[in-house]
Amino acid sequence: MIIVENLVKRYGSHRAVDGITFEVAKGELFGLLGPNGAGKTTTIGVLSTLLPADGGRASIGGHDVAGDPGGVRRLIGVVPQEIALYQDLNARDNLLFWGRIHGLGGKALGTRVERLLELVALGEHARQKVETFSGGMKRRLNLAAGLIHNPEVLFLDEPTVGIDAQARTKLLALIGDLAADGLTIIYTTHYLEEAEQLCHRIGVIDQGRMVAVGDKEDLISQIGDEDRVRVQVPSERHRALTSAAETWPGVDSVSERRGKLEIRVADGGAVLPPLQAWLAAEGLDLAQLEVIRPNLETLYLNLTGRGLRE
Amino acid sequence: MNGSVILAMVALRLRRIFRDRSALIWFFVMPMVFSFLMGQLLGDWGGSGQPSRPRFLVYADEPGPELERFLAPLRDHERFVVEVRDTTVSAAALAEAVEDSRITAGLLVPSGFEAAAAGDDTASLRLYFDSDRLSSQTIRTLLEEALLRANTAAAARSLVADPAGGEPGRGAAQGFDQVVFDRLWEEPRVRLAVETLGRKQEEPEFALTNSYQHVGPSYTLFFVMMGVLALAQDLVAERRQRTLARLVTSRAGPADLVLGFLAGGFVMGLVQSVILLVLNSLLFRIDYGDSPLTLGLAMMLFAGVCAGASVLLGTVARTEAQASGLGVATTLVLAAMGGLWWPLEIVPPFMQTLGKLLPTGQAITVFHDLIGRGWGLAENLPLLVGLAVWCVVLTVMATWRLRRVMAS
Ligand SMILES: Nc1ncnc2c1ncn2[C@@H]1O[C@H](COP(=O)(O)OP(=O)(O)OP(=O)(O)O)[C@@H](O)[C@H]1O
Ligand SMILES: [Mg+2]
Repeated sequence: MIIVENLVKRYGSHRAVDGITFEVAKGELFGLLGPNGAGKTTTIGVLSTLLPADGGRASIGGHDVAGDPGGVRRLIGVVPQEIALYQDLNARDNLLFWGRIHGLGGKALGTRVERLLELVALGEHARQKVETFSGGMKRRLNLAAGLIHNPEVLFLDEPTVGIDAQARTKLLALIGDLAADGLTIIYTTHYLEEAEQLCHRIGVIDQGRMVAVGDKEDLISQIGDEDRVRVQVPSERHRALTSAAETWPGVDSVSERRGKLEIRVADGGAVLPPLQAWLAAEGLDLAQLEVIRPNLETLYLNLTGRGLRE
Repeated sequence: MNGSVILAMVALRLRRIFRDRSALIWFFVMPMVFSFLMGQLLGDWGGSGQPSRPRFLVYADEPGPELERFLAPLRDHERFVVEVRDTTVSAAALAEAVEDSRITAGLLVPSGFEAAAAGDDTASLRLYFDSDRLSSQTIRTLLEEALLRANTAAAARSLVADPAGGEPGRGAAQGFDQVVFDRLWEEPRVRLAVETLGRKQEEPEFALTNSYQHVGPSYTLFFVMMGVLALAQDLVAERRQRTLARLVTSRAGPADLVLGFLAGGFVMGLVQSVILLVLNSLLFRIDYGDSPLTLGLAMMLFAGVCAGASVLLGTVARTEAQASGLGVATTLVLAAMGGLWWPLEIVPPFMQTLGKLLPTGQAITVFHDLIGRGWGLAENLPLLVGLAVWCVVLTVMATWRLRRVMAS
């Protein structure tokens, strides 16, 4: 449904999107995961015909985004990162307006608006001005406005930014339902757990480059399924700890990593008792110990050498 | 073109204004308050409150029925008033009155006119007219027609047999006598000598009689410009809040979106103009003259100018505050220089010329011409063309800028 090949978008000399390639199948929920400034919004901008690309190609449903933007616009719905609504109008009037812009009208539009308001649980607030809404309500209406014309492809740009956990859970459930109904979705986020929980496949993007693409299991297998236990001890003790640790159950390897010792082990929990005992015997502090289970965070760290920023 | 997209965008714009009480105050209440206060402050500008039409003075030593018949086609003309006086005036004084634009034309009628028109004598009229003034030109044309008519009548009378037996040469013919007619035709009884005068004073006289005739339209124009330019803030907000991005990625075509934004300002400007002009006419008894077509064109072009400027401003300003500040500043400057605060007629000639190059100056001058001079489309054509040029230039620039902003 969506094909992106070597896409490049520059702002001046800065390559905001630097040769990204991926595909999204019909009905798939594809997560675009990356920190602030990674190029997620820029990618969505090019795919949704808002920004012209500087290189590469992209097509949606067979329509080239550069050559046939009109064809692309007939297929897509966009939910911008910002609350792209008229704050001084009520919820219903906003949806009616966006419907008319998409060429809908009459009874059909009226029913569509009511159904969407129910879907995003704003039926009771239909006549309330958007500016009086809570963050979660605004986000839901922002989503509804992107769905008004029944698009085949939906771009969701960080739809959960700035809302509390409860509102987020509701919104994620809603998006899950949309995906279950067969909508093709590109979902950008910098929340790992959202991508893990929601998306069929995930592309990890950093500084305009796609550093990994695959389903969650694919990605995890790229870093192996071992836990890593990191412990900081004075460097003159490294040798002693290494020889001790190699005798513990399930330990695969011990290596030095940025001043810390990293123990790779099938189950991190199993090495904690002997490690604690060794530390106590050496008179060292427990606080300088960390267990890393393989998840997207570690993947990300491995891929980019940096932690994800919230 | 998709009418329903444009309609939806226009409706959105109108709706947001009509629902916003403070906007309504600025769009409709303040202009009327200003008109009232300034009208009170400036008071009457002389006269009866009736618009003054240019005067055509006729000096006749012996006014009589023949002169009345002669002038009948010129009486009650909408472009000028005819005044007949039986006092004497020097030719130089009459010429000066025309040159100073105190009157639009003057006619000296000698004492033999009544007899000449009856076919008994000859008389020579003297017309002083201003070739640059339409009313003056009209007078000349009408006088020439009247002259032809009077001379033909005189010739006909001379040809017809006098039942009383009559003197030789008069009524001698039993039937039509070509020789007699030709002589009468070549030597008409009444002649008209025309004195063409240039205009000393470039501008016609200040024609308004009452300050409301100026402040009503000028505050209408001022607040229309301010109101429509304020819509630029909406466009900046649409850029910032990304509703513009949402519009661009919608099924509506880019051309329709550009038209939608332009039409929003245009319709708002027109609605505001109509409401304010009607209120002004009702409250301050302003008569906008006899050419609704000219009035309508001027207001549409002015609204178009404002709409183009508003979209342009909305695409160049970075923030709403900047759009608002620039909008107000632009309005103030154009209002001052275009003669909305005070009539252009009272500023130095150089500033008058400059003022009339600005859309505000062009629009208010159309109003002065309509209200004060009873002029119509033909006389106002240069001003309307000026407004149209502004409108086209601003619309083209706004379209170009908006298309660029929409693609980034
Ligand atoms: N209009 C612009 N002009 C110049 N640089 C820009 C512009 N928009 C984005 N950038 C830059 O391009 C890079 C990618 O930005 P983008 O908004 O795509 O990131 P993002 O992944 O969506 O980040 P976020 O999580 O903050 O939304 C950033 O370095 C950003 O500063
Ligand atoms: Mg973003």
